[in-house]
Amino acid sequence: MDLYSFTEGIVRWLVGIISYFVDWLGFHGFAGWIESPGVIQFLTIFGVALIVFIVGFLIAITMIWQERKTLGRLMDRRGAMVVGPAGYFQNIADGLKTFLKEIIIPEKADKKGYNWAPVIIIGSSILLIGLIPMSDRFFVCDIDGGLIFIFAVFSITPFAILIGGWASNNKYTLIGGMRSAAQLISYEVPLLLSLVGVVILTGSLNLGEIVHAQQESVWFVIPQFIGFIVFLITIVAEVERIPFDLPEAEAELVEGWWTEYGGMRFGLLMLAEYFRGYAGAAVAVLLFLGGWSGPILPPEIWFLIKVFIVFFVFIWIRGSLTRVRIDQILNIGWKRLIPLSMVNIVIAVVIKSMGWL
Amino acid sequence: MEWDLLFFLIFAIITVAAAVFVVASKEIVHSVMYLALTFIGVAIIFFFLSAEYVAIIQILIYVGAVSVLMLFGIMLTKRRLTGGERI
Repeated sequence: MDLYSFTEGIVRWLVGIISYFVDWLGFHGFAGWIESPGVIQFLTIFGVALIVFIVGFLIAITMIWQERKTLGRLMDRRGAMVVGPAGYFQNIADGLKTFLKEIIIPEKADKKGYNWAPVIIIGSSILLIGLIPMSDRFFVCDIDGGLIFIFAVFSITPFAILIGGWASNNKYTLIGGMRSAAQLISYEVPLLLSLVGVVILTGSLNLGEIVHAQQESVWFVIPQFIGFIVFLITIVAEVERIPFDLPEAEAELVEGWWTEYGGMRFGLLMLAEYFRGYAGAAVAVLLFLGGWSGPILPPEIWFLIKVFIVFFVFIWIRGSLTRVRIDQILNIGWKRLIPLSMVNIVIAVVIKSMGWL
Repeated sequence: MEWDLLFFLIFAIITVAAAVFVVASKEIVHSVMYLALTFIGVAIIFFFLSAEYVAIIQILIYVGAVSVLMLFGIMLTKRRLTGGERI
């Protein structure tokens, strides 16, 4: 019983009711067209995508709540307390508040670029959710090369960030956009190189097959420990969290490249950042921590537990460390992480050729 | 009803229109935006031909690297905006 057949059953039941009603009204040809297999397949795919998007949206909102509470505990305060149980509905109240704000466009901004950049960023972040399988029976698409596809979608964002920083017609947004693009492009190299070890050990780019290979042997965090560390550092830099938070440095640049964005655009960009954080934590779990494998509990619950543990590590790093300078960021990326990922590839080749896994 | 043909026509029209706007638009950054849209449309047409790997590599290299390279090249050179103000 996977997600696709479950949704198909619901869609067939609904379409049967609608076509019976239309047939009773007298439109016999339209009732027959609604029950044809092409229409049912289209509605099924639409329903599966909708269910997965709603689940990802709820996970992202829970992550915002988790970050507020954990960061509060790290700073000796309580975090959100008032709205809902333990302050869980505070995010929904904030979303409603941003929804009611006025839309302000700067007078001398480039309208086309200013309106397009958040559309590209939010759309690509939502596309990332549909590419992540939560278990053997809960996924949207299962293509060969799904791993590369996730990072191809990640690589669209620096382009949109540059456009948005340039189109706001503001010195600080332009500097923030340039910094962001430099950081993201230079950190994509060690990010993709640290995945090569896992791909060599598995022999496949399909995320489901990678998880099955870990269920048969050991979790890849044991033979690929250097790769796991490099991957965690680069994914923190890729979703622009605190130690590599240069593009949004509040002290020097006002709010980085999204200074001029207000109202609902600001709320959606904030949400897109947490979508990307969820995607990064989920890829770390799938590649190195055994995916959805675990005893007793259902696999989806295990996957969510591991994702929230990895995200707790991100929050812990954010609460403990300070911001790094831009030249230090580029030096760490090019002079330290790329040689380390090369060493990791050599270790993977040795293990594979000796036949230890 | 041929769903594949319908969606292929939609994406092909979008791709060709974006390629025309690359040449026709006055602002040079808008040309790069339409160029990126053209690359994405070509990748979607590769998906329709069931060449998934080629489509993924098209997005990764052309949209993620070549467009950003062109933007850097435009922004790091001295030029005048259409309003006459040098940036």
